[in-house]
Amino acid sequence: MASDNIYLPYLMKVDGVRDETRDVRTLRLKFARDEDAAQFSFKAGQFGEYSVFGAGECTFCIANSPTRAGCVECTFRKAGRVTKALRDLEVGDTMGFRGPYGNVFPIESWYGKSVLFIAGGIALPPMRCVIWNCLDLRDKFKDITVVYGARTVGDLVYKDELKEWSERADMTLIQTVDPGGETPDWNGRIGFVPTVLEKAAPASAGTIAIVCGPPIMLKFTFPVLDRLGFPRASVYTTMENRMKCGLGKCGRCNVGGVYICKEGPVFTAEQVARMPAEY
Amino acid sequence: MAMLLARKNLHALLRGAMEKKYRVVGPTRTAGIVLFAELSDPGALCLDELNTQNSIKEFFFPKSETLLTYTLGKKDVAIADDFAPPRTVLIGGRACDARSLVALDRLFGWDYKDKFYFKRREATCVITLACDRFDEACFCTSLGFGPRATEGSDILLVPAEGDAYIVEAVTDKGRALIAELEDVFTEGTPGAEKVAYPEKKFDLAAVKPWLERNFDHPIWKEEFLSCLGCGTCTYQCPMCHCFDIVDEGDIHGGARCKNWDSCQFALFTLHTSGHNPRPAQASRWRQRLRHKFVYYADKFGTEACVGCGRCIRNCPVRLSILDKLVLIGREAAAAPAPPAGAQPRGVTKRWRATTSIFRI
Amino acid sequence: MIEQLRQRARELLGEGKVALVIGHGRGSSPQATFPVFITKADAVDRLVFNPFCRNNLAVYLTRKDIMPKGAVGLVARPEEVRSVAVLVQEQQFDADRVVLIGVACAEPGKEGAACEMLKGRTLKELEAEVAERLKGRDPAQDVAARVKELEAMTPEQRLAFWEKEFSRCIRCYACRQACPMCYCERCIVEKNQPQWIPSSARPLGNYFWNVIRAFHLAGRCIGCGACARACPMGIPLDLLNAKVAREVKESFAYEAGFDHEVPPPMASFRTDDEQEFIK
Repeated sequence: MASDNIYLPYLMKVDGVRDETRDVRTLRLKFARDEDAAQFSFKAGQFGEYSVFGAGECTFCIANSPTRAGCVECTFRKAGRVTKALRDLEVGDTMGFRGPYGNVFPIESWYGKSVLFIAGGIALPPMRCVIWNCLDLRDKFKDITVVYGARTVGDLVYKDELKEWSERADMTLIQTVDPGGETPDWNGRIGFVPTVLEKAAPASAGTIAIVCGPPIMLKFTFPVLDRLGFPRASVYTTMENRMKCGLGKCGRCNVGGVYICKEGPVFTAEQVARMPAEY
Repeated sequence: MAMLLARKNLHALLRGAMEKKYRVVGPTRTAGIVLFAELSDPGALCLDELNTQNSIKEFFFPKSETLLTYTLGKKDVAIADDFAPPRTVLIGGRACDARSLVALDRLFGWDYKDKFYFKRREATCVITLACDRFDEACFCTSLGFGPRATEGSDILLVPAEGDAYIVEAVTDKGRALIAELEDVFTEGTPGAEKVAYPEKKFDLAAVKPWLERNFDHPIWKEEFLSCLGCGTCTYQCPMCHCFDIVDEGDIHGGARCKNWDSCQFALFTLHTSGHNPRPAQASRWRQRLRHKFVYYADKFGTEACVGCGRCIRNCPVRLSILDKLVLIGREAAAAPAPPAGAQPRGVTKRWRATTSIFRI
Repeated sequence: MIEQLRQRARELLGEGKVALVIGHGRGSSPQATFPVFITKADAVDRLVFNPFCRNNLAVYLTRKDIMPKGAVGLVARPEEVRSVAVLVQEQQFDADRVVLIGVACAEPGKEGAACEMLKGRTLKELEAEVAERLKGRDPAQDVAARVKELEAMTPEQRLAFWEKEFSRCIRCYACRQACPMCYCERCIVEKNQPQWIPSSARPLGNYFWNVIRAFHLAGRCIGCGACARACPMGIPLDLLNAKVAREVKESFAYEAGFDHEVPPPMASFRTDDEQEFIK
């Protein structure tokens, strides 16, 4: 940003709108000014502050892969004041975006290894960015596996991409829904993500695991990965504490010695284990 | 010989600054309380109270700062962020107040630089008054500095015998202001300094490691029950810097504002999902203490507390951070850190005997 | 008198009738008393009572994070008795949830003023005793002179007066947090769909907040003055609430906190009401 005002957002134009589920939507945003677009870059794992003027700002990851840049995508569930306002936007409307903020997934350090993605519900978006990043650099990795679950079939996001991933021969997609969330034609698994993961028992040797989900899912998934033999330093997650500034100032996302927005949001399970249980 | 300011010349100093078109901020009596506020005339200065209700942070990090304004068009939005704070002389803060600025500089300046804070900092000359008295809520000396420390001040006025202040020009900004208003200062032999030091009340070096290793401790369940969960302590604190960002306006436009927020509010960390990482008031107090004395200290090299005592004097239920620090200091002395590699103990007999009905 | 108080607390805890007694404890001076939470019969000596015990302890009765299961003992001045009456009336808990230890001071805030135990034991008895003590009292009595000054002002002057007072408000919500009647799980000031009250500490939002809070206390405020004492900026909130309480008394012949069995005026109506609005 050319401005010295760290709180000043880029002006963005809504370029595309896609409904993922009944209450989850993806927006594709283009920079209103070409010079902003030209100097903007980001890496997988980073996030931003998306704003609707008059409603306020909201924190989401950047959901598209840096290998497919030129725009910024965000996927959100309508829940509060800002997400409701975001949902009311139409193609061509102007909104704000600050970022990219936070640290990144150290993808280069995973080269030559297998990658296992584990996501629950609305937590696929932060992972989608990394998944596409890895898929676009497919020859750098051994196996790529995605375990994704949601409460119901209707709550699965990125259905087109899930279909594409399930049809790809160079990756494995395991989809699951919580018991009772299946439809008659559901041919994925039924069960909670940690349980399904444990049954699938992916090999831990030479594999990096990336987990993303609500705090409750993390609490149940980390022990499964422990049992499967994943060293905690090979397990990554991205933390979604409540944030406001994204700049390490407003204090909201502070957990233990870290500001999630600055030193995170990407952490290894080893780092998470050292934090006080306040996430 | 030293530079002196006769007490009777205080008003002349302020008048001089006002004539030079400075906004002058100082303690003034409003509706029965003494607050830092813009002074309409030098006579409004009130130095009766040891400390003001509000802290000077308000003039660097206001309770509501406009970050930008927006005007809404049909499909477009125009934004503007003009910002030029007034040149200000801030007089009558204490050494603790001034120190808070140095500590806040680090937070507002690490990596991303907050121009609103720093432009206000640059535009403000801080004239600090060393303390000739203290009260039971004061604990600057327990934090390793004292009532005539110069850190954060541009000019320090030290009260001395002979109805005068000894003038210490601390920074170039301070020297420049003195040069600008030179008529009010005199050279002379200073009388003895009248500075009052509160006694040291706890061992800071012991408190921090205790807090680090006692995230789970019965103290957290028992000692903070009376906290009402208001934001008084954090809002009156010169160091507390948490904020919210909100848009306020109408269908035509408005402002994006940076507003004080408090870790003591239940909503502060509440997730949209309803999950709250700090669900009990006691967990918020623990955060307050650990943030001030562990996290901030580790990150920025100084505690996020200056011992000014405002949180203690203003707490509606007299829940005193100083009392708790003293208690923790005693605990730390009774249960010192185990040698490296040994099992942590940390809980003294008194607390081991506690079977609390409270949870955190 | 203090021995009688401690004896009651000792009995209640010792006989297991309550799990907790909330009372006043002694600080560094007799003036500096603060709320204490006693869970053991042998700790009742921590309890004190003197004219400087001004915190309204009923505020804790609705705090979910500290209230134990079962009954609680409460050192209850007339202010607490009346607060509990309102809370029971508003069905925040059953009357038998709180065991009242009635106390009173002849002149609260005055050094050396006489203190005594109230005779009543049940809420009903204590209500009657407190009503007898306060018979014929103007709800605005403590601040009557200042209310009179306000009433003598023109509306413009009054607006200017309150604007000046509210301009100091920092939105710390100490008034709300110190008030037993402010027990809403989500205060209206924290609701943002729509944003009823601007949250910035600026003139508009400050005015909204303080006036709306006074409205929400109409017919509920018992005039303990906790809000004004808690306010770190010296805003005379007691004036505002006392004025509203007096209006309620004149309009409905009702004063809050004397009878938990009658319907509250702002939450009830009569079909034979004389006022136009009901028809």
